[in-house]
Amino acid sequence: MITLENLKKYAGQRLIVDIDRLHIKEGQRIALLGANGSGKSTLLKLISSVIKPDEGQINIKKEKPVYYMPQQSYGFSSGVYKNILLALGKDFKREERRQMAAAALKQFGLEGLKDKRGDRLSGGETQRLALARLMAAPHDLLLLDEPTGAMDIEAEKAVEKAIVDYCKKNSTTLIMATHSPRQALEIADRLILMHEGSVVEDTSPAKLIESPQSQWGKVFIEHKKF
Amino acid sequence: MDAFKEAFGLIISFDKELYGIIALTLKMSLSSVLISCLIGIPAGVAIGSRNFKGKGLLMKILHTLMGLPPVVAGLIVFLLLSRSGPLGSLKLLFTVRAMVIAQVLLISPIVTGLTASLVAVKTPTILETAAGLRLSRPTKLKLILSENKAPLISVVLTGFGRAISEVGAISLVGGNIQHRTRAMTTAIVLETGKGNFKFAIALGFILIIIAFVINSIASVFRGEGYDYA
Ligand SMILES: Nc1ncnc2c1ncn2[C@@H]1O[C@H](COP(=O)(O)OP(=O)(O)OP(=O)(O)O)[C@@H](O)[C@H]1O
Ligand SMILES: [Mg+2]
Repeated sequence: MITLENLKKYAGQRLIVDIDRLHIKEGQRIALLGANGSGKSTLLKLISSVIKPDEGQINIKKEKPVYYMPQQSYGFSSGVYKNILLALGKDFKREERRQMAAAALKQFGLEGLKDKRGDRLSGGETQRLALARLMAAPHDLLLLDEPTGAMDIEAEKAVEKAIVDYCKKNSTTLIMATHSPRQALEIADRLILMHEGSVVEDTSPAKLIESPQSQWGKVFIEHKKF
Repeated sequence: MDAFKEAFGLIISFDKELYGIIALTLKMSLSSVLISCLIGIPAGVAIGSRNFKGKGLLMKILHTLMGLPPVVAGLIVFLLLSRSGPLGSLKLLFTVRAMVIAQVLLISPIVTGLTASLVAVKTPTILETAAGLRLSRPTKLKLILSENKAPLISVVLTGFGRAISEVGAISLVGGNIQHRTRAMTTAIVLETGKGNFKFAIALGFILIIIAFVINSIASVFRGEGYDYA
């Protein structure tokens, strides 16, 4: 689905993303882990072409559109429901759009906030809106940058289930940055650990728990309950 | 106190001279602001919403132009439009059009510069979000404008405030000719100089009323602030 080759991104003189080769298969659900500043967000921005690489290539099968939720989510000032309709665009019939938007509201617990202005939501509510907007329609390729970072435990659990169900139903390829090992194990079938812009561990959940290759892999296991 | 009474008398008797000046001032200011915004808002959005080479230099030039003294703007337009100037054949000097041209020279950099810095606050986030949702270019543009509605209205108001209160440029290129190019500010200067305070006070009072009404209308459209105090 996605192949990265010799990918490099600089911030001034400093190399913030440096990946020799990374291949992501169709339908994989990847958790992108790593400390603050390890380059997770930068990598997601590169894949979604929000920013351009300084070197290397990103090849996406059949030029499939990449749908992406930034770490800093933003609600448009129109109502919550209208935010979702806007994202659905003109690809669907009017009645279809309404049904899809209503289903997304329900799934992300936003029914009570339907008419509230999108720029006046709390942090967790804004993240739920961002997810509802993005996941109201089926997509092949989804990038989420710490989508539950501001959510309460209950909302987080519900969203994790929604993400897994969505990906299975639509055979979606998912790349999700997260700081929660527990969440990574809940959602992903492949774990990628980044450190200083590079991939230092790339493996399945079972393998990582059994025999972590890197020092960061070991840290991950110690914290997998959180 | 008599001057105040007489000023009020002028206002409620719909003095022809007084209201002629007010009409001319509004026509001039609104035209100046409209043209300045048609130039400055698209330019400001284009500059403020992304990074490019030479942006720093461009912003420095803009900030310099934003502080352009009105008499200098007036002088430039005067020289351009004077009979021996490059645009002298248009015969625009001492007309309302000349006043509008001078004000556009003065106000469009202000509109551009303010728009660029205000739009820069939210627009990168808006664009990143919109890109992630694969929204079309026209939709992105619409979002930049609608999400920045409140600051953009402030920009328009600032431009209008500048236009209606400005003296130096319009007196140079307009000439303060009675019934033709006399605006509220230039009339106040003239009448005060002549000791005709009632006329000056009446104009000053109406200037304040206009400012208040425009700001009240704008605050309705702006719809900013929080749902709670
Ligand atoms: N626009 C930028 N200009 C300069 N440096 C940047 C920029 N964006 C990110 N960086 C730097 O690049 C590095 C990687 O940042 P990135 O946001 O990708 O980290 P991250 O892994 O997402 O971290 P976090 O867990 O805190 O979200 C950091 O050291 C950061 O300071
Ligand atoms: Mg990040």
